[in-house]
Amino acid sequence: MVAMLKELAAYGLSTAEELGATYVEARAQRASYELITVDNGILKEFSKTFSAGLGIRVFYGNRFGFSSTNVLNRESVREAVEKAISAAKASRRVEKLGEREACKGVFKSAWRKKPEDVSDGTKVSLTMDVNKAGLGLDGIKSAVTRLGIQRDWRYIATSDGVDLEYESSLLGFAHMSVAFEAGAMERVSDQESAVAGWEFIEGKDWNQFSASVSRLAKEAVKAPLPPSGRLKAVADPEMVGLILHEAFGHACEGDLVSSGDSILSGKLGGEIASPLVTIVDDGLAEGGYFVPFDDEGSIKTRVLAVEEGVLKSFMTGRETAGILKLPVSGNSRAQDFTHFPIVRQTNFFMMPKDHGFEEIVEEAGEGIYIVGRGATGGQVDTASGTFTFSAGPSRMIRNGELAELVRGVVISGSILETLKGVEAVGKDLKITTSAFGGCGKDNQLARVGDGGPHVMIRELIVGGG
Amino acid sequence: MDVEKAVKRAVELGASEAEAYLLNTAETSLTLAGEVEASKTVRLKSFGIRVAIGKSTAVVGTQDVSDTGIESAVNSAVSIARVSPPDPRWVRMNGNISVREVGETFDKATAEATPEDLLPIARGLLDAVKEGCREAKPVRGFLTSRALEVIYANTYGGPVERRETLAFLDVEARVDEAGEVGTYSDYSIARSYRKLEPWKTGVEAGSRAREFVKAGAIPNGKYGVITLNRVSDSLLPVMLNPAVSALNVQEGRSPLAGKIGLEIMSDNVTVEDLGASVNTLGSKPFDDEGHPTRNLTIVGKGVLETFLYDTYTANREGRESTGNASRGFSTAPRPSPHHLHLKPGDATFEELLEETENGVLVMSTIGEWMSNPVSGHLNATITHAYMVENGEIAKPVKNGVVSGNFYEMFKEGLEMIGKDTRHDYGVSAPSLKFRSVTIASK
Repeated sequence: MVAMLKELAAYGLSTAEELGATYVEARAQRASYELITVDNGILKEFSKTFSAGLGIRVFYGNRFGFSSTNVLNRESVREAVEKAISAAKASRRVEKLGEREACKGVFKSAWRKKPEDVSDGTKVSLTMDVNKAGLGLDGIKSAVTRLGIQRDWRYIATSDGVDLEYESSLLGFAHMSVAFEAGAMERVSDQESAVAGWEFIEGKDWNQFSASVSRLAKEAVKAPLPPSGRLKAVADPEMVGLILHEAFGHACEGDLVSSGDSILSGKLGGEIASPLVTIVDDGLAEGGYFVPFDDEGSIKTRVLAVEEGVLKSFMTGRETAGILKLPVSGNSRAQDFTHFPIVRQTNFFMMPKDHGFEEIVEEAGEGIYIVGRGATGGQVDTASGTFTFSAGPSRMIRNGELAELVRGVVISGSILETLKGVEAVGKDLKITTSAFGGCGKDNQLARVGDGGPHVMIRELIVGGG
Repeated sequence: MDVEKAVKRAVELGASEAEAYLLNTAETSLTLAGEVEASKTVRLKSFGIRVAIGKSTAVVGTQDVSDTGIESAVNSAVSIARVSPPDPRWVRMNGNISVREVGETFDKATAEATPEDLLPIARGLLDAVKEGCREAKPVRGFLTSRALEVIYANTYGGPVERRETLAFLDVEARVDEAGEVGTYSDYSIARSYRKLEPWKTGVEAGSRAREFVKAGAIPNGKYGVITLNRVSDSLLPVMLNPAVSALNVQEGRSPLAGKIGLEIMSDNVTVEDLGASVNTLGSKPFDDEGHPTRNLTIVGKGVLETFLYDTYTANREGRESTGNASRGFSTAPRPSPHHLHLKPGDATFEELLEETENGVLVMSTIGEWMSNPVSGHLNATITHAYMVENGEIAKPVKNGVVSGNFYEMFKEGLEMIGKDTRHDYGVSAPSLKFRSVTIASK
């Protein structure tokens, strides 16, 4: 299969050049996703999805056009090339593409034990056990456990000599518990994933994982909503990751910056955050997702977005690098072979500083400790700078100590005010990724990683009761 | 290999039941910034096979639709089902395969549209933003035409075939004025790209963007809140789609469990699922198990009348499916509405305003999907709104979190229902007026 896909990619390149394209990218992909869902003790779904196909992007008359096919023969690839050229005719003129070195190489994420070598029966019985452990607590009304396993092989060849491929493995467990007490219901969900092989699954007590989600749901169902209004906040690494990704990462994406759809347009070199804040995007960060090169065939480089509060750079692909006169950072990513690449984050996180966790809570005095476990996500309006995200069950901070649990915590704020309001940064660092979700932009989903240390923020808007 | 052959092959390999689902997708889309930034045309074939061996089931999906690709998917599904523990609640796959008349859902020109066909509409949309406000820039937008074809068969019948087209566009406009920024976005959806409304959409985005340059903050507090029809459209499915799914009810994840026959909303609220209506985006002749669709009243004059069922959840209760099975090509079906419709009332939009002494008109939100349909707690972050004073729009505002129990809002809280229904894909609702809603802000 791999040899055939490479051969078709080469055919796509030469066909596009024959038809007058001045630059061509042929991307091949072969991927699989396995999902086992156990719902209240019963195997509800065991599904496997396989995909394989080819995406062709042409630069024709200084315009980009894209098409893809999963009918794997020469005739269909030729048709895709013709459609890509037709699409180019409808696109804007691009004067200059950012320069990058045409590299060749093969990358592989680390794994010791291939998930596909583990029997289906073993995977099912483990997932059943994890679900049972989550259900086994009084007051837990419903529990859903999922095991997700992704394999991704990507290959890119371009007419200027790029020949790169990678293979990666991502897997993890997700669990949701619903607790019921005195007429009220509350759900808590959590997931833990890693770019790894089956050894990641073997190395953890997953029954403990699901049981602890259930315990948190039981505690949360009795918890009040937080007070509504402005509060000082201490965010844990997962929340910091979510805030950064939503509140700042998107606004640092070169395409949004160049079109004026980012509140950071024109602010390069300016002080946009507290001097405690340094933020990077790194394709190979520990704990994060695996992005050695992007879907334009550029090696992913580490982007220093903010250094001690000063906006230093944006994430770019070749087109936006050309417009913004920045280096190509290898951030142009496509969901799969059916999409053209757009500028995306990889692993976007804040660098640690000097504070211990207790120290931060004590300094905060009064406020809220927002916790990522059980959070359902976030969203940003990059142009106006408004962002929002949900936190998991969190704790109020009173007299410099963690106090009662609160649930239903929703935070909102404005991008620039939030980062300027960072008052303390912890010395810990945790980056996480997920085999179950990702980041949505322009109708494309991308796996990402994010994180940081514990951070204190002067104030956030908290929606509660 | 076609769907019938795939079903037969699964039975030969030892399945007691099998269903095959073929999805053909064709899409052409333009990404817009100040101009047409990029365009693409994609054709994609996806195939799914679900098998049961006794009460053990498995699903395998593949986008390798060659004969060997499908053969290997069928093989894989049968071998997974062999090791899967039985589901004691499994009865059988859908045995009622037939087709409902829902009018024309397919437009040939939209299915075959090239990027160049869509160009004039894209240009019209971008020009309209400037017409809305000379200083406005279109900063982000999309124009997409899409055709979907589903072919379904199982052990008991088929194949049945349905196809539909869909076109949509949206645009975000931005106005910069003396260091301040105003934005607004709007969208349009139709079966045919020729029925989109680029001009109206662009003018609305451009003119509102200018108004929001001066958006202030909403003081923290409780307000009479009007949700513009498109905001109603975004809130309803987030809370109701999961709650009315019979699966979530049976598995203990719906706040509506045990409430059939009870008044869960104000008596002027009727919510329907329009599975089989003519000219409704989301209606279809059969669901994702080949079962004919139907129109259903979910909430009639405030009273919860039914949940939505697929074959599995219907069998658990010994009843007939409501034709609400919904699936991706590689996942098992689950019950879901086709088109959630909140029946319009008789108030004009102006009347909703007139009746508001001190309130907030919500024009646009983000993050409503992070609400909690299990507890019924609704959250939405306001990006665009107006303060309403003495029945009149006073000034633009932004940044605040609407928060409250969805069912309390629709029972004690609902004051008026507009008649300005906005039809989106899968949902339609008018503007609504609620009393005493908490908004957290500065």
